[in-house]
Amino acid sequence: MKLINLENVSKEYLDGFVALEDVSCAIDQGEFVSLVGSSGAGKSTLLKMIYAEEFPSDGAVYFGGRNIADIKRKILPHFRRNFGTVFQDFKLLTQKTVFENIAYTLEVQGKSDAQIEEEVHNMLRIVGMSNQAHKYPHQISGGEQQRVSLARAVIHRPRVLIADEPTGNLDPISALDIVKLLLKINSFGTTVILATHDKSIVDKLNRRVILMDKGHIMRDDLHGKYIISG
Amino acid sequence: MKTIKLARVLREGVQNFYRDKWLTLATVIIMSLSLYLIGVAVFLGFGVLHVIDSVENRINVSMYFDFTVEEEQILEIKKELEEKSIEQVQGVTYISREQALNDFLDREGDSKEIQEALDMIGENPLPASLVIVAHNTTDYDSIDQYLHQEYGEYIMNTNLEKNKGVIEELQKFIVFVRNGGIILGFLFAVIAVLVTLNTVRMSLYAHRKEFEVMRLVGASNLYIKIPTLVEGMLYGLASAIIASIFLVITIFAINPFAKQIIENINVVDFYSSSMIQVVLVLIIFGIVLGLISSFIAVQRYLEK
Repeated sequence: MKLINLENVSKEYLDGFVALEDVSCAIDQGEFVSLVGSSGAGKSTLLKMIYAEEFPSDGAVYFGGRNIADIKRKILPHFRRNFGTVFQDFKLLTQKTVFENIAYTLEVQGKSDAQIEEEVHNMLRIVGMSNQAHKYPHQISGGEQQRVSLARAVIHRPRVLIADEPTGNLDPISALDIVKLLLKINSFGTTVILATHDKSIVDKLNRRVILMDKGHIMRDDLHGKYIISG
Repeated sequence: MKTIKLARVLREGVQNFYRDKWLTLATVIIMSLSLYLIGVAVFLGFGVLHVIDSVENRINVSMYFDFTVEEEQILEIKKELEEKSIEQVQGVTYISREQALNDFLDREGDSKEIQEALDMIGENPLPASLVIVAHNTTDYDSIDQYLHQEYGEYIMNTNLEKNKGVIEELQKFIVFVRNGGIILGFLFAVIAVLVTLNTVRMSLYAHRKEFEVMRLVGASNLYIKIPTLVEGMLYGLASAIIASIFLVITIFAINPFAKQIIENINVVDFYSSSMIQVVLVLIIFGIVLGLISSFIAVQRYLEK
């Protein structure tokens, strides 16, 4: 049994827009998967299905053998702790410092202050932000904000890291930094699912690539390149 | 673990309040204004009620006794009336013939003509009387009836007929002022509440995106909600304190003007007894209002 299983998943929004149509795929623990395709191909919707932000109109999504649609609403916050998420717009809490943003993930889980202090400082070292711990998001660069966002996403050691266009707003050097961090996180055993349309990144990775177009999976290569099929 | 979390959400609420200074400032200013208006309405209401009370207490009906009735008998009747033989009566004052004459002379001035007239009569022409004040201005008719029925044999007359027109006019005026005041005060309060609700909702609209982020990193709805409620309560508390300060300043400021208009009035003295109560009520009201507003707002933004 794979960690994540999508079985004939379709998603039609209330306004009639079909974002996914009969999509099936499986992702195993520890994989690094790039999800590529143009805007509107259905990448974000597919990701949302996995971390239970959206639910399929048809078909089913299984996480660890469990149908996500069967999870009670009350348990959802706990279920989401299996995931870390990173987005193009960083989504940092603007009224919190770098340290507090990362600590927040552990705070909601009820970890002790001492534990939080230690783990956050470790994480700040890993992402290279130790010197900026007490700055607010608006005081640091975009690349730095994304590193903080990444730190926050993985501080609680989730099983899956979901990165939706994490490099979309970054210059090439910062983008490369982020990708290196993603690889590092993956090397610790965390499954990474990266949605992107940055060809150079995907080609450099030489990992599994799923190509999407108009709500369908077009290709699924184990060591893929970013190829737009004709 | 529960206590750690509780301490954390409380801290979050306080942090939200003081870190987002501009948002807090804007919210608190508008909310203070609303609460200040409510405070002014309450104080005005107190003032009007006080005036109405004093006017009502000046309305009375006098029963004049035949000259043949002894003072002891009158005092006996007074006692009966006071001991609630009729429940509409609030108070009874005895005015002896001598006192009636003194009052008359005080009122009319000790002029020669009057003195001469009195000398001609040779004795005190004024009857003794009981001045009766009712609880309610509408009760005078029934009181008058009762007096005639029970003590008709002793009574020379009562002055109800003479006062009736004035009493009725006053009665209408009092009802008008009281109802008008209640409606106006109510309107004030409703407007203030609506303004506050919307202000807090708009302030929390700014947090809307953060709620989503918090949810994504695994915060439960309650963990997101409580800081927001704390924030709302702090808005209310701060606003109520500011509104109270301005209310007190206002009362001190209008005191000299009030003195010019009405003699023997000291607004500060008049309100000082109720000041603490009003401030306390305002603070509780502010906190509850902030709490409810933020609850409604966060409920909206967390629904999904």
